[in-house]
Amino acid sequence: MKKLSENYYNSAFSHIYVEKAVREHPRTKQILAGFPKAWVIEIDHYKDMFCRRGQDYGKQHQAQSLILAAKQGKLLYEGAPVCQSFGNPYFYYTSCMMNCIYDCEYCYLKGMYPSGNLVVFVNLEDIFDEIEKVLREHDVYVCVSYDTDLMAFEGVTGYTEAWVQFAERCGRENGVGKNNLTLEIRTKSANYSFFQTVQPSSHVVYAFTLSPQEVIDAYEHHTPSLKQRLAAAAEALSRGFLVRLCFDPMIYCVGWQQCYERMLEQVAEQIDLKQLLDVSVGSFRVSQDYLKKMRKNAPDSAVVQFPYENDKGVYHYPKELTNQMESYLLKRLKEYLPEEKIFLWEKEEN
Amino acid sequence: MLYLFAALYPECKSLIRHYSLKKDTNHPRFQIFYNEAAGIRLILTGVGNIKAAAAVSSICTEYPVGEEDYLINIGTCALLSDREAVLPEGIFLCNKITEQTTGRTFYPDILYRHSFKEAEILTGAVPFTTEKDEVAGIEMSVGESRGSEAGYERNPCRLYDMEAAAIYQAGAYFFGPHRMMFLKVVSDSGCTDAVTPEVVERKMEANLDALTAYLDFLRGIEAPVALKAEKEEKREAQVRQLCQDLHCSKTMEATVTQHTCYWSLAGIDYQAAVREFYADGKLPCIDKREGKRCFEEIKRKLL
Ligand code: SF4
Repeated sequence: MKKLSENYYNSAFSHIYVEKAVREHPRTKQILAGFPKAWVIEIDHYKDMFCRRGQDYGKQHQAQSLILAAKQGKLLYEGAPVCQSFGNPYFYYTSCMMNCIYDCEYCYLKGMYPSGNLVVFVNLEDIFDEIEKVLREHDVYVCVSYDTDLMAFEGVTGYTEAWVQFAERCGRENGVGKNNLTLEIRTKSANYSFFQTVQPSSHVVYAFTLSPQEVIDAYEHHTPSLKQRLAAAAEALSRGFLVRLCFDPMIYCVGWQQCYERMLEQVAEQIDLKQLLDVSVGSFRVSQDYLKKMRKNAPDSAVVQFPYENDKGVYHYPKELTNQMESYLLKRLKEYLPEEKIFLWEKEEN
Repeated sequence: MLYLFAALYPECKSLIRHYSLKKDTNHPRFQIFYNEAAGIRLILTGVGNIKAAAAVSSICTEYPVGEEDYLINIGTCALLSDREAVLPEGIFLCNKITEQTTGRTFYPDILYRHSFKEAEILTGAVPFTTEKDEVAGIEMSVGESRGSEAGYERNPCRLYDMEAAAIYQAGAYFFGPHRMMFLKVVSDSGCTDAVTPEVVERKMEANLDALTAYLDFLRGIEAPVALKAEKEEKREAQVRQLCQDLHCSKTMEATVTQHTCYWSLAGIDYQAAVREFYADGKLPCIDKREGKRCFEEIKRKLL
């Protein structure tokens, strides 16, 4: 729905805040060159801007500013319990960007961050160094697009390609029999041309998050349609990229079963499911602290205001509904894929 | 409501006339001009940090600030540049405020469209003069100008005033950074003798159209919010009645409220279902236990 106040806002990235320390960084210059009309404002530290008191996440998201900064302190995090690890014992995630250009109403970032502005950390090499250190100890599986959608912003940052090159370099330098690096790049984008220009890598998994078109229309604002996402995934598959489909989060809506049925039909029509690396299934869940904030920020969002049940600090759909939704999708997916290729996030918890 | 804060009368004389603001003679400490119908309250703070912060704090405590209110600091300022510099015309919207004494910086959000130039401003404790010793530590260089060789816009100039940082800090207790705007007109570049009340008045008058256009624009943003609040109040009253008829405890009341909120947002006609329950004699319930059972039945029907 078009918001009444939409035309009051500045266009996205009309303002770019740059940390003094990264003013001369080549990536800063490259990114700024893409926004010739933006106001560039110098800041001391990104938190001066990002962590101000009383910010309005929703309003800021309507006129997102960009913050260019250097990531300091911890650069690599161990995976959170609500995340799917796909059986990888050394499961990490990293944040080279915070927030997203898409605007999914149910996005947990809305509960996690105090600001709706987008932060890009330009010192990607420091994160690479950190990963290489850990890689000396054991295998590493890193989700690099968790607190953002990296591929959606590829045209501005080129970060996905930089990650792929890094993974390839690590693969070459480590050689056979050594510790292995695998990256997961999760996206709702439909960056079709990316797969035509970048080479496939056995170290990089492209995870496309899919939802029924009804859910996309209602809650996943500014994201590509299901058809477009599937076209990008099909292109990736046809060129030999490792592709994962994520039916996670599953979102309840009236007539959910028919919606998910139609979605599966479309998936099967556009994708040869047998070629997939795997799929993941999980109904929507979110920590209670995040939901509390999300509800305050989005009083008009049905998906946020759903009467979820609280189970040890994590909100989810009522048990019966969760089971119905997940088991329906699992059953249908098993018609196309062997069981070992289907991951249900709760399974790992038990 | 727009809360306008200005240091001196000549800075807002034309605004007072334009919006037909009336003087509030009941206020003992600060001069206040208002027009309830126009949704504007203008406060004269006096010059300097302490006076400005005291005025913001006092007024915002006296008139509780609502979610749809804005704080707008309006006034003249100096240009931080060489004495010979040509004074820029027009209004500046400040995107960065630095407090000179502490070095702390503040960033009002610039979310809404505007037709002004933008600038950063330094707030000092004493008037800015170009007699170098008087304002120690001020960087005199003008920032890079628009369309610099890098191809993007930086703040074209730096301004100097004596209130903005204090108003931001005091205002932050009441307003989010997207609800505070700092609008400045350059009156001088350090020659305070030339800044007479007449000069200030003339400068502000020259920018009245642009200023009022922006203020009217801000007032327009919040009109839909008021309409929504009215609708919401009606829904809340209905839910209160339902809770009463279900004999809800506090916890159950929260559950019922959350469910009805979701149903109405998701376009699920819960009111029709509730009406049916009333028609069937299932509502009002006789006690808490029956209320619980009844609500479970409503839930089953709708989810
Ligand atoms: S695409 Fe992912 S990160 Fe971006 S808004 Fe949607 S849920 Fe959040």
